[in-house]
Amino acid sequence: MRTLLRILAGLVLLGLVTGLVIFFGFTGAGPVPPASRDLEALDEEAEAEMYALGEYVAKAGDCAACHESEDGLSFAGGTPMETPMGTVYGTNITPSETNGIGNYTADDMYRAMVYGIAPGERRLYPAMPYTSYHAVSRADIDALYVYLMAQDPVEKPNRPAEMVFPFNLRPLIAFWNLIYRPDPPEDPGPGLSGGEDLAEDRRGPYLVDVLGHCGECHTPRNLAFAKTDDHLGGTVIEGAVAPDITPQGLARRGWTRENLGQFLSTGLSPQGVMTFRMFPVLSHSTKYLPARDIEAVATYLAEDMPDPASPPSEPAAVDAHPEGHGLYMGLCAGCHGSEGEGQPFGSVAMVGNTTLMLDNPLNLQRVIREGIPARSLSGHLRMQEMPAFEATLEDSELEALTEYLRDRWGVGAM
Amino acid sequence: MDQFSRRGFLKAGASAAAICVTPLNEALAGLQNERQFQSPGWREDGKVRFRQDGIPKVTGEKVFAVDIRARDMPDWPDEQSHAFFIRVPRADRVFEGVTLDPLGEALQPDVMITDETLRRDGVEMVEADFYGAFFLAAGEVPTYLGQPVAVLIYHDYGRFRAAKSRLRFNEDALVWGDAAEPPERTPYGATRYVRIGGDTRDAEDRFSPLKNAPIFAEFTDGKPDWPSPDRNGEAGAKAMALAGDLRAELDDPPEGWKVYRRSYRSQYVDPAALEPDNGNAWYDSANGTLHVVTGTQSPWTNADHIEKMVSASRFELDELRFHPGYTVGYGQKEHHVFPYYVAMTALYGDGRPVRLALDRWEHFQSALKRHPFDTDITLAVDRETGEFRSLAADQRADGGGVKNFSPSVGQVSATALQSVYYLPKSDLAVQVDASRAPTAGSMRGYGTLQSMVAMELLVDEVAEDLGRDPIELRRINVFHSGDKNTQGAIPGGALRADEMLEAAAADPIWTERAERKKAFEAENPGYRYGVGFSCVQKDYGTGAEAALVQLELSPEGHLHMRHVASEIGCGATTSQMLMTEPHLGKPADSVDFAVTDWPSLPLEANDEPYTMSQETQDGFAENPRWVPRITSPRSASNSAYYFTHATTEAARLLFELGLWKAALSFWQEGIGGGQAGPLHVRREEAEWRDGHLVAGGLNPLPLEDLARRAHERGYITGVTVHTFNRWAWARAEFEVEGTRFEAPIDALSVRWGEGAGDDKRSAMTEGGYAFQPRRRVDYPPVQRNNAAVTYYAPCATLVELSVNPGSGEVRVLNHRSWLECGRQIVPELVSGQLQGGIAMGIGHALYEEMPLYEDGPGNGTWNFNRYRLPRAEDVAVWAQSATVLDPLSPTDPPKGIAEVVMIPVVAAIGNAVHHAIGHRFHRTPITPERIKEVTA
Amino acid sequence: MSALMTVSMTINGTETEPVEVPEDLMLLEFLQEYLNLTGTRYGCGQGVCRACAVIHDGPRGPRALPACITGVAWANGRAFRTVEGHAERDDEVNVTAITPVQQAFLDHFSFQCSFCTPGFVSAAQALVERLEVDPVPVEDVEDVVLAALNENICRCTGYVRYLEATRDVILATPGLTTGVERAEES
Repeated sequence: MRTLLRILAGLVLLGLVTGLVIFFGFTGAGPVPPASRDLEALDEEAEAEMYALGEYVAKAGDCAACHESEDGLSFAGGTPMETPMGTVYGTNITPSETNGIGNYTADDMYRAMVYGIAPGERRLYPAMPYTSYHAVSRADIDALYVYLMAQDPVEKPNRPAEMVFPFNLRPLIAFWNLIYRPDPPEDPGPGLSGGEDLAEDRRGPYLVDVLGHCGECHTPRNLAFAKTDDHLGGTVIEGAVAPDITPQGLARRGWTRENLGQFLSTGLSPQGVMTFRMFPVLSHSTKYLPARDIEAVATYLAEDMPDPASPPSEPAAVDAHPEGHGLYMGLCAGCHGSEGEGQPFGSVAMVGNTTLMLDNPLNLQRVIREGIPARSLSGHLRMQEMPAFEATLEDSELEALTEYLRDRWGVGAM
Repeated sequence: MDQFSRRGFLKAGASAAAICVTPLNEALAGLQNERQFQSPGWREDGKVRFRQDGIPKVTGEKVFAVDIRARDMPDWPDEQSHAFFIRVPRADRVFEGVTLDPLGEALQPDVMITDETLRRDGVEMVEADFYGAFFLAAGEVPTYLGQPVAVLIYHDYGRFRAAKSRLRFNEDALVWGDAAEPPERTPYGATRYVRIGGDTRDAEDRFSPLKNAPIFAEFTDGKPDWPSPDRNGEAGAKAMALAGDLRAELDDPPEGWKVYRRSYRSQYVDPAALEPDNGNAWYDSANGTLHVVTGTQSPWTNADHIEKMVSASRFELDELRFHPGYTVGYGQKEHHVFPYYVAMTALYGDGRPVRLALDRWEHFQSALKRHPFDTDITLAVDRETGEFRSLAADQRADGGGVKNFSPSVGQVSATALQSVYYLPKSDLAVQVDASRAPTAGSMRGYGTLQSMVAMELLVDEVAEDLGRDPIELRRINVFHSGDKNTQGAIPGGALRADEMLEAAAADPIWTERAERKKAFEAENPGYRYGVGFSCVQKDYGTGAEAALVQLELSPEGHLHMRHVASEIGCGATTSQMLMTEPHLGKPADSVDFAVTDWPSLPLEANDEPYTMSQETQDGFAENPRWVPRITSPRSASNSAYYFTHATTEAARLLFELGLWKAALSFWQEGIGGGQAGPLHVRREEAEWRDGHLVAGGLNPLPLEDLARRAHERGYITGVTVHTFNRWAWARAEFEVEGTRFEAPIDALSVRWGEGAGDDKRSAMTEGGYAFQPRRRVDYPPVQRNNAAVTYYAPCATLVELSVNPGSGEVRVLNHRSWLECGRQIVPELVSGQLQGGIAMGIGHALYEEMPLYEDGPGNGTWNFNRYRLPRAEDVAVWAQSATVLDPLSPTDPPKGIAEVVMIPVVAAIGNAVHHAIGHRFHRTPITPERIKEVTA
Repeated sequence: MSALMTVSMTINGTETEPVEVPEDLMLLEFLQEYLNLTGTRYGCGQGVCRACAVIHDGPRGPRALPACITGVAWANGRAFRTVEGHAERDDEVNVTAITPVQQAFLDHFSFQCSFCTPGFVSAAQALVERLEVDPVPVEDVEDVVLAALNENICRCTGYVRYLEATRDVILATPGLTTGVERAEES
């Protein structure tokens, strides 16, 4: 952290002069393509069509996961996003003229989404995933615009970002943009608005890398907090592991294409349940994707995937970790089963559980410590509460339990 | 016929076994040589301080059947065996049999019972048409999901739990054959209620179910064959012709009518009684005695059927000892099949008591459910006046795999659809289908929740469309005392829904709703606020309510009660103990509840109260020991009114026939007629004050003195009465000690005190009592069955809620209810029922739902994790309020209210959600997903 | 079948005889099948409904926990209170005095069928004891009671009478609340 600060601070000082030139010359919004249609002159049918499409773009783009309020009002803003440089809060994107985006034009929205430049040349923090959205089609953004502008305005003021110096100086984002912001592709394709024209082979990447912006969490970042080339290779973000979801990483942990589809559309698969920041992704986005798009996403993620590994299991761990095994029997087996078999739709199985197979035990330890509230996944799937064991387990016990679990059914048994 | 001949062969000349039913708490108390007495401090200043069953319940005593292990039961062996079911979680292929291979050698059961076992031993379900057969036979396609195929018995707990855990959530023990469709099933019933009123409200009906008949359809290829319309034909044909006219008129309405057609859907619900279905039973083959402990709302029926079932089998049965525990059901344990499995399993226990207790997954898989209904309503309204002119409805319900009460749930639903409104004419048709879903039964509300919620949602929509205030439209159409219901019957007593409408219309929640909405939404940006209202009235009772009560005074004045009432949580045992007070000056000192052996009043019944002809009834009624039914099932709603009537009559007769004579004997002692001589003493003037009888300025007499005197002189000191109600009370004339009198009871026996002479003593031949044959009896005519219902209790609820359009969550902020229940026996129990009913209604409106079939509870994977029950935070626990209307007179009978209380809140929530977000949901529950579909 | 282990724990102040049980046995089963303490009830078997709540007297103070998903492997050597252990009893185990929480549940007609009552007794008692150590302002009592009892499911009563009873016990017991003095004291 300190190194990072030093490097970046140095950059700021050294580049001050050249920076000004670049700032005014190169890092604003790029070209804005013409609107896909005249949004002022939509008849009722066209408006309804664009609204429906826009709703789908909003879901596939998972706007609500970051722009919802703390209490779940879809676009009212307030969701905190923690970065090493401070906390950014999702903004109000309801059409409130005072607090939201009521004064935006469709061009404004395009610039914000694709270039990270809000009206008034205000630079957005790259927590807004414009480096992913840069390839969203204009038609999709127009549809999204129609949809968002038709929402009820919510008069909820935005909460300012709480960044540490010097990252609280927004203009400096210009330099980050200069280095890390890709230009929009020559031909972003038809997007979801294109319907059948968005070919199967482009549909998966468009949903995963562009609208779904999966890499924003799953791709490791460099010191400047920009995504590296290790696409979807897994990293720690906001205090939790966003796992490796490359075909190799998935196969190693026993995922199949079918399981991926099931996981994304229902929130639950033999590998486990949506937790941490994947839960909002399910709630606002993936569970609404139609079968065809789930298929496209799963196919893309599983492209050239090796044969999936069988669920690891090492019975010898029972004797090797008497304390951990005892804690498991006493505190976990009631729901997760004495043989780790779980209970259908209520408690995930330990056998085959993806979290146990991650190299980093962070997610496992956090789930045990903090628990997971009871919540609805999709349809009639609703998981019971996983109790928090923070007040029950000593640190050494947590360690023993974690080691046992990972050696019994996880990374230690692979 | 087959069964008959086999039984004749096996049990030639055998008479029925003795049945002894003792409530569990008494069976256990017997262990401590104690009877159930009033708890110390139970009453203070004439008011009940806590439930009579309160202390054992709050200290964790064994009160439920589920609490019982073999060693708890006096006389039982200590060793407890355990059993569990194997069921089919699917119904799409041929079941070939059970394999125990997956259990390995170590976990093989000590006994396995399958259809084959039962065939061999001649054990058959009694009334299998109603309950279903015990087991699916190998080689057959399952009829429904969750159908049982075997029970495994283990003689030790360790192997039991390991085996059960091994077979849980999998099909490893099931051998499957070819893919197949579940068998085609004939619907359980279709009924139609046509009423065409006269020219005015009080004119005679042109046609009505009560005056003429309800119409029952037969089925061909699963379709109802309604009679062919014929204006001049039989009742059925005529009804169809009139229904045709009514429908045609709705299709082509007169000028000035507006016709609304809407479709509503209610969901499949688990009553979720927290005590899962369970029982524990011991078959003592050496003595031919079967002991059964179980949780049930129908103990008498259970005991009767178990006796028949075992007696017809190869197992000897001389005595059945049946012990119902305190329980809870909301209808889930009313005529449920479970007690028969408990009894049957015990026959195979190798002489050991066997416990069969479901876990929650199994309870979801097999316990009775609430019927889901599709309800299409067509309502014609006068545009100018807002008056309802004509109503047609078509309802379809899914009854699941076994018939149970499905036909009558459909009928009760249809006859309740009118809610609190008067309809000049109506045609209400309902059909309940058989399906592969786990069986639906008689859950709290009995079909009326489904139909009245639909009507109440529609009325709000009509009001909005006509530009009228929803409560005002209700007041225009409200049913008045003396009006006829959709069956053509005039309900009993004053109907007071109109008072509730008036009160609600003036309530600030209603009058200020626009301002409150504005203020709330300004204060909570993004949220939507709404207020909704609904008012319904629910019938209570079954149309064949029978009860037995015995009251007896000792020479010391100790009052003992024996009663058919049992405790299902609603407080019936508390309230019945109190009901003797007006006539006898104090509550019962000790009681036996859930009594089903009545040596003091032996009676006979054909138990066909709904279906026998008038001729049959008249014939049977000649026999003074005959009654239409001995006793009816337990529900929270029937106890307050029907049981209270029986208790009150017993207390009144004990007073009039016995204590009053004793009182006069004191007052008239001495020359010149004693102290009463100069005065004119009337029985009507007598009343109890502080345990003393007072009348006309005479010396107050303590009950103890009266009891002692009655015993000394051989006056009547004990009575047993039987009562029967078919939407009206049976009345009979008796002659006791030379005095003729009439009473609203249909059988009576009396006991004279210790000083009775030999003639009286020799007459007391039955359980120490002397039967008093009735001289004459008036049973309500069987035609009265067509009334369907005549006793109503109304309830209204206003709801304030907010909707989060983003998450779709609905938050109930406040609710306010009005209830009319006649005279309250224990106000705390009434308000507890109301609060609990509202919570259950909130669950129905917002959370509770299951798919019917493959993804539903029949697959064995449902539990509370995904069946969301309302919690404290969901019911506006600190904000809610309620008003119970004052009775019209001190003699208003108490009414059954436990069902009605859960209904208005459901529609009120639907109407409030509309006020909040402008969308009318026509189906429940209104889940976050469904809200999001319209708000996103 | 799973391995066996020998366990012993303190239940209602009495240490149980060591007994050999399956190592995956749940505390609820131990109470019911081995000790015949059936007041702690089975409702769901997955820790959702809290009919099985018992009080664990641990180093961090008393805490209600679900016995249906707590294994003897953990419970071994620890101390618990079940519903049977709240009231005072004479030598024949007849109840001689009940706790203020139990009395309040009686006075308020808090329960109907009473299947969930033992869980509510445990949760309310644990709350009262927590407030003895860590009192809350009077104006927060209703929120605190709701939060503490919200996990317990009751199907009969609609919760009102349980929560009101618990609130009243807390307000009537000196030392459980801070801030505004109670009317009868001032």
